Amino acid sequence: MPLPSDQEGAPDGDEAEAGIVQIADDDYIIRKIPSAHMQPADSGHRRISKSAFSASSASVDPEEGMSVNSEQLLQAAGVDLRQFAPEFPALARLNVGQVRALELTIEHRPIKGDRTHCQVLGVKEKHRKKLLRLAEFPRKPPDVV
Amino acid sequence: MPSDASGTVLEHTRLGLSSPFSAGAQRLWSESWASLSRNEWLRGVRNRLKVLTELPAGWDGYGAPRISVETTLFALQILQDLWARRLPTPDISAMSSGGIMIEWESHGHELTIEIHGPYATRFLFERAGSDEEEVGTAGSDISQLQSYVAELARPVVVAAAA
Repeated sequence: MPLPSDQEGAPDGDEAEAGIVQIADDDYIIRKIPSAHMQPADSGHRRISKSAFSASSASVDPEEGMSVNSEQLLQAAGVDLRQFAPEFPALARLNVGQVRALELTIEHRPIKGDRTHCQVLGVKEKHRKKLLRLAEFPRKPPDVV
Repeated sequence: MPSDASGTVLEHTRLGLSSPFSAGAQRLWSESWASLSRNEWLRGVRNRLKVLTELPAGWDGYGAPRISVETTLFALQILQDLWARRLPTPDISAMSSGGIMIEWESHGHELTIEIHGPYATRFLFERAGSDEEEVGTAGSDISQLQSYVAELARPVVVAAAA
């Protein structure tokens, strides 16, 4: 089964709206972490910045949501998390219920080429550190603490 | 690198002795040291900003735009205006919105500045020992940010041994 495409874009109209699912509290969301979100830390290590948890611009997403992928939908598509988005050095994994407890909304928003795509809506500056603390990192470079 | 003369001043200061140099020479040395320090600080900042401007569109895997030159130059201007002696070099990173995040942590305080474009700045200040967060915006007036920076850059006071 091929990996869902990393193509970006606006929701794909009626085709995308069909098949929208509810994201359950016990699901997990996955966010790709590029090296641009990694900062030098003590002892030659790096750390992941809370800037990793920022929303898209209105020009890309009118809802200004933070893009993520549903782990459950990835699994349903036959994607092994270890093979997901291999060009990104790290992945953050967050429990949906814990994210919603921060009064954030998570909606399934399939986009062209990626039907596992979801949006976290309402992310403000006060949420970023909390999201960083909640996150686990199933993939990260060995020098990232 | 400190010259021999500046090293002498440092040694006299450390030992609590009066300087062998005139007050004018000391001030000149002090100012040049501060200037050099500022230059080094800004060099690090500029290098980091340059890396961010080289990120291609879509660098975050979710369609992030490139960070604009205008946003980058405004971030540099803010940093130049906020520089203070003893202010640590900030962490600077890109945001999916095309913005730039600047972070400091010092004396237990945390200051985060998010620059979304020229004069479009949001900040979050978390004071040491307090659960309250101060959130706000800054346009051309950065006096609030300067007051936070003063707290981040204050000298460490070491109590004298009994």
